[in-house]
Amino acid sequence: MTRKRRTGRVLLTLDPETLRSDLVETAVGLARAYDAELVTMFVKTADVVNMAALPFETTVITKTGRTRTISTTDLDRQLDRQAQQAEALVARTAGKVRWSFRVATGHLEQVVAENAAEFDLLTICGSTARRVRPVRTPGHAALLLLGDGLRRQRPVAAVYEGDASVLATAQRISNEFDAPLVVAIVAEDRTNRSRLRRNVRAWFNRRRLTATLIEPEPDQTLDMLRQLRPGLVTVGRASRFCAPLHDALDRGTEQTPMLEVPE
Amino acid sequence: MPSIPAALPPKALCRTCDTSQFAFKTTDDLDDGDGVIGQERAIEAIDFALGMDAAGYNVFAAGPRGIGKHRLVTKLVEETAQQRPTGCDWCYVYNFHDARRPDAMSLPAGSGAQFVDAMEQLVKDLSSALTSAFSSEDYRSNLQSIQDTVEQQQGQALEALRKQAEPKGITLLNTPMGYGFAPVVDGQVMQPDMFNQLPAEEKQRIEADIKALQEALKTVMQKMPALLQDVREQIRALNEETAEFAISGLIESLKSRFSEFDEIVGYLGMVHDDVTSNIELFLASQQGAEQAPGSPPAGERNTDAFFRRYQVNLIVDNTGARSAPVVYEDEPTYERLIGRIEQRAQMGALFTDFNMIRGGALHRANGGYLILDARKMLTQPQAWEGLKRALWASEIRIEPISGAMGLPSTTTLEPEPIPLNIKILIVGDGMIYHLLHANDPDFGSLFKVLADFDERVERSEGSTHHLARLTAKLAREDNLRPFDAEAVGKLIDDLARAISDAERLSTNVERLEDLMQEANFLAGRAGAGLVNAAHIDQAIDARTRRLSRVSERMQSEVTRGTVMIDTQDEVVGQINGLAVYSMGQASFGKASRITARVRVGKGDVIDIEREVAMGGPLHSKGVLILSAYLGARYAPNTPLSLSASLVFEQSYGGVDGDSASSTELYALLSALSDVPIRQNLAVTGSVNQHGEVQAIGGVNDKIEGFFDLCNERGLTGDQGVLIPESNVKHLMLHPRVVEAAKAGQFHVYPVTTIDQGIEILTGVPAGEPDADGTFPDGTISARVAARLAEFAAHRAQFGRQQNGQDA
Repeated sequence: MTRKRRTGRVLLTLDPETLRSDLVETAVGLARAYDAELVTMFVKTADVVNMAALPFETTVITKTGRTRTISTTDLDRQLDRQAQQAEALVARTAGKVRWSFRVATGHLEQVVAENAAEFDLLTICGSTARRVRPVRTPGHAALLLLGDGLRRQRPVAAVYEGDASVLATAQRISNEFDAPLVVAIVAEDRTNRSRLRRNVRAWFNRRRLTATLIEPEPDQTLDMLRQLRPGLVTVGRASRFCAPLHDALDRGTEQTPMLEVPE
Repeated sequence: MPSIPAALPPKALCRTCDTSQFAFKTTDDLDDGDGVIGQERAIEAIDFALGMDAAGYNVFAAGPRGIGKHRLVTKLVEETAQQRPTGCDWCYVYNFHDARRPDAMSLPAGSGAQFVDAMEQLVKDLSSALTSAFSSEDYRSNLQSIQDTVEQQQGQALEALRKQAEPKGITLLNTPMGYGFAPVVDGQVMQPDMFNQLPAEEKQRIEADIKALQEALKTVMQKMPALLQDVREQIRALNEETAEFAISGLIESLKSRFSEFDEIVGYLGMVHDDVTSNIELFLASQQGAEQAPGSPPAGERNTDAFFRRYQVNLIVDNTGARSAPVVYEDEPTYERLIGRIEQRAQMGALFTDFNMIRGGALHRANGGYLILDARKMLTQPQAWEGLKRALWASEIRIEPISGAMGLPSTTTLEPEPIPLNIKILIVGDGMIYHLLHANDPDFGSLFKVLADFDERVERSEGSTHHLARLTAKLAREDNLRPFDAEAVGKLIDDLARAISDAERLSTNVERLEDLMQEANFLAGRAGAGLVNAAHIDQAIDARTRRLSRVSERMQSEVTRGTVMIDTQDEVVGQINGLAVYSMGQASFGKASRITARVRVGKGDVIDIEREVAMGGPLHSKGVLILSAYLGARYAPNTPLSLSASLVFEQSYGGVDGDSASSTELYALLSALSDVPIRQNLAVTGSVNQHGEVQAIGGVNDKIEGFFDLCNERGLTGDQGVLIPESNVKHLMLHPRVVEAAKAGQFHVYPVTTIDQGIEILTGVPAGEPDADGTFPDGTISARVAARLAEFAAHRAQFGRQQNGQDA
């Protein structure tokens, strides 16, 4: 019998850019996989609020190319409406997953930083994810930079460098989203690679599970992951690949969501 | 002058079946025969109609209940159907041009089910092939490539704008209403207070820069719809190409399998086109799949709903049939005849599609024969009208009954009508046939053939043997014990008794079958392996006993003296008449006292029953005949100066029929002649103006009624009944009467004239007139003539006295 690790609480942040049903569905799936409560926080981002308050005629360009003048009142009303939509969306999607909803105002990274301590998994979506990098994530919390969302039916990739929690997390997510699991065993030398391979096989055999194993050279790991086009990459917080993946996300050239798992 | 008839010999009182003619011991020794008794005329008519292919030669099989109409019609139709080819299979399929009008498709028997199975398999294969194709790495990478292209183009354009804005201290923001630009400080949007503190030139510069960037963004965004449309087109083309690749092999394979059926091949072509052009619906219906661009709302996303349109609704399946269909619809409602369109409630609304069309009896019998019960059909709303519409149009058009009645109804389907080639056989009683013929102008055109079933058949050696074989067939069919030859003889006797005719047999198979069942039950209770004559007698007696409560009550009132009927002595102007009472299944005869009183008058015979409106027209006619007879026979040259009254004593119900007219005449003659009538005799028979006694109905019940009364009081040896001689052939009396006759205790006298009857009743000769018209002295006629002459003289004298007083 596989016993799920109880994570406790999953935070999903949404803002005007990331109010999308597929992101909420993903977060609900994660909460289910972790047997956790989903806390959705809609953030009225300070930048947007400040923009409307600037002392000149502020206009926005709609997605159809029309120009629209906005005021602080308009914006507040729209943000409130979006917050209601977000709550309704979560209520509709949650099913049997326990959930709660909050609204916050401020800079997203500050909001996350202020609330991070009470969560075990932080799920950050959209381009704002790039600004979360400076946030100091609590030691026990996993961080999921979801970007534009999980790619369904694509494999979940785990970068294994000896940390079993990466395997457990990746397996749980692949199981929840019915996605194949690919484990990239990364080690500097053949001896360590053999050891890690034995560990991985033993881990899966004990649980009567299967996964595809690949063994890229360390300097080719990122390229191989790109070619694999995974739906999600799971990586240990201490991994050497954390920073490059963050950088890639920051540059906006790599859309693959990344789950950073604490040791 | 006709001689006075003697009482009938006992053997004339009941013609029993001569079982010595039977060469079998039990019904097990007999084959089934054809199961038909007589009905040559009806068989000929049905055979004629079944052979006629012209329109309107449908059959109405008319006849009384229980004579085996349905059994015979079914038998003949099934025999004919064996010679005819099997009917077609019929199915409804989706109409890709107009979903409200599903297409009908005809296929050879058995092919429909194969087509259904093939399409079900195709749907499964399509689902899995499409799922596989649209999950393939190839498709996903192509799709991703297209989507990446647009995202990249959009992202690059926005990124370029962002980079263009950055050196100017401006950032691009995504707001709930759209994209906007704002000045930034330390990576965050400038606070309004800080902006206000900027120098005026700086503020103007920022505003100008933002305006310029907005124009540039506007240009970028205005290109997006076209770009997205292009992407949608590309995705659509990719989807169609992928679907085409996935399904064409499957559909082509099915086309070649059904290549001999042009309709199926054409339909499969439309399925192919429909799948490829609606592939987004399929993709959207895939649960858990990403919503395809341009897909419909979530409510429509359902794979089953998507594939329902490719199902085949087989409404007539003749798989395994070896001949033309023969259908009997036991519950001929409109919908069970014409078919119906079912509806399903879904979220409070009614929903239907071509898969919910259900065929009716007309569909199942198409190409063959449909047997219907007239009464059942005519009591169902719109069933008859619906049937006629189908026959007139030679097609089955399924529409809701509300539509057929011209009432408003919900929007529904209009399935393509199915051509109708059918022979209808309606089974019902003759009254319904005549009512329809008289009142429905369509009936004669649509049901040109009457199969007129007779309720009786000549009693002959041939028909007796036929009945014996029918008995054997029924015994086997109903799983009854074998019947021995004596029992079969009794059954045949009962059929003769059923119609009160010793020379004919009833064709009422239901009565025969009921008696067989009841006798079999009694045989079983007695532990007998065979049903014998005693069991039949017991069954008949038990049936009579079950129905005899009223007759016994009436008889007891006579024996207790409440109702006055004499069965001995002689009385002037009083006679025992006989009447038959029918109450449901029970029918029995009873005696009634009829009396006559005479005096001088104007030639009237007053029927008191008629005067108080208790006499029917036939009875009144009979009484009026009496005046004519009296006047012509006894006072041809003088006015009939008589006033007579006739009455059924202690009659508290209506009286009809002329079977008592001879009885009433005897009473009149007795009153006129002042000669008493024997009360130990009862009389039945009608009379004509010449004094001839004519046949009546219910002769057996009447005789048995009087016999039972006499028997209860004690038979004296001189009691009996006068019946018309023409009724002798109808005598099928109960053995108890026959036994009494054999013992000389009871007598049945056949008479042909009133003169014979009055002589038996009074013991005085009636008397024939000589050449001068004078009757011999002492005869009844002489006494009557003298009395009438006396009345005439009195009347003349009275007339003269009146005239003298007037003068």
